[in-house]
Amino acid sequence: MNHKTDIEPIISRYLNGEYSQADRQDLNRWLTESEENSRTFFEIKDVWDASLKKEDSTKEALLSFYREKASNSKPLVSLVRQWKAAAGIAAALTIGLFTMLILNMTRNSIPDVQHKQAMVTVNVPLGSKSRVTLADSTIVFLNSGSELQYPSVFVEGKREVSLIGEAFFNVKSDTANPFTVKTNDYDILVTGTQFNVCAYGDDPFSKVSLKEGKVGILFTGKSEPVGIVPGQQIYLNRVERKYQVKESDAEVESSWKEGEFRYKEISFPELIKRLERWYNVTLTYSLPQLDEMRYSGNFKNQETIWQVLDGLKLTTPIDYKKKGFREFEIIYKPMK
Amino acid sequence: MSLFDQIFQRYYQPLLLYGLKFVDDENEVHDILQEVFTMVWENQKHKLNETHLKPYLYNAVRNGCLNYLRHKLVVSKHIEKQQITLPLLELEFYKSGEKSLIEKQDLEIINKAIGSLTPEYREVIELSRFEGLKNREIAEKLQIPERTVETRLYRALSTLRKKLTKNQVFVLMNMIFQTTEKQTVYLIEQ
Repeated sequence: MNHKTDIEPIISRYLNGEYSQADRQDLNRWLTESEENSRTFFEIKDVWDASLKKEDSTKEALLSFYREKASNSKPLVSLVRQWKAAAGIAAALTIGLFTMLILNMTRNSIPDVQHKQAMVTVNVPLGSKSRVTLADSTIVFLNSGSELQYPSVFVEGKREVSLIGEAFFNVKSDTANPFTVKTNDYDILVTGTQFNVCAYGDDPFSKVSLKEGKVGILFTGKSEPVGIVPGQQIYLNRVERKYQVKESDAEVESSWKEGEFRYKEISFPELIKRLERWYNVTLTYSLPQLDEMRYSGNFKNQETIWQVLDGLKLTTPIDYKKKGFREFEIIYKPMK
Repeated sequence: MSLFDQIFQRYYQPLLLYGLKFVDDENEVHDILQEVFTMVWENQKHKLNETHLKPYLYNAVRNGCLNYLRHKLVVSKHIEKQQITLPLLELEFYKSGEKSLIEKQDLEIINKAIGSLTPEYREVIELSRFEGLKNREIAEKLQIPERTVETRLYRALSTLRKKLTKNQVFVLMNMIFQTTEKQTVYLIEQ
């Protein structure tokens, strides 16, 4: 083999591409030919390794270290790993997770006998998700950038929680103690049921999709709740203060809790907003011509934000530029 | 901030890069580092001075990686075993006293060296190392053949290697100079 010219692309492929079995065999052979060859390779690879620019994870690692030391139990790292796999993103995740866990720990240490209604707030950072079990064994899945407030113990006669953001509720049935989810624009009155709420403070809309059972939506300032049945959705236009009852698939609406991102006929701004929360990135754009477009599709959240944006490029006349740390600008580009 | 925290903050990121040289799985490397720092904590190693602490840490990470690769060698299938041979050889290389740039250099210096590359070379390094694009993706993005990307990438790395090794000599001389100076001061005081 001609050393200089043939081995260079093989090394490049080995370091940063898809290399074949043959490439690896050639490389191995070349390395064993002389000590100089292997030194060259290791030094080239060393430059490659040293020039990797990575987000600094020291803070999260230090927190993780102290947490592990304090609990003295099974390393939390593996838990973090599952989370990463689920959310597909490392950033900003661990801090939120730990503050949450620490918070929960302190709450648990308060003896329940006091029957004081200590309020617990769970904040889910952008780019991650969470799951909370309430005192009545109601299960709440929380999507990125959401906040749930609930009492550590429910008082007799009512179960009340507040939500900003998106959550899927699986409410434990208990007719004697009605369950209420308070949002910015309405209260959701339920007894026992499953439904998805999407009520972010910075979205122009808010919606409740019912999977099972029955819910009533009581708009702030109104006295009669609006009821929906499974397969229906209340969609509130927060700007015009108008709502409509639509057909909707609660499975699709709540697919995020399975680590999937399925969306059906959502607008460009909504899609962008979701990607921002999901990937913890900032996407800037000024493309009024796209506001009318509707997007349907799904991905499993194993894709990187690059791949998602590249996919979007295929169907939409846009291109994107990296602007800074976790920041992209989306620009108009007529399709070929 | 406690001494331990300072040590942790100073070394965690470079040690992560160092571990990634041998183990191609970031989560595993995080695990290995957690174990290394547990050892540091338990044996109060953070109280060592830098001349001893630094080699101790890099050696500990190497051993952690070696254990992981050995374990993987036992549990994995034939095809995966082949993928481990090279990292094992590389570990041997560093075990014999060779030092990685990550250990020797400030990461700042490496960044500066990248900044001083010609635009063509710098571009492929930035796209691959900062933005994580594969050769094929870089080729698509720049509208050039993949083969050209491969050549440019190799040449860019080769240029960096020369720059950084030259730099190393300079740093070394600087150190010798400082040492003699200190000794002189010491003598005068006597």
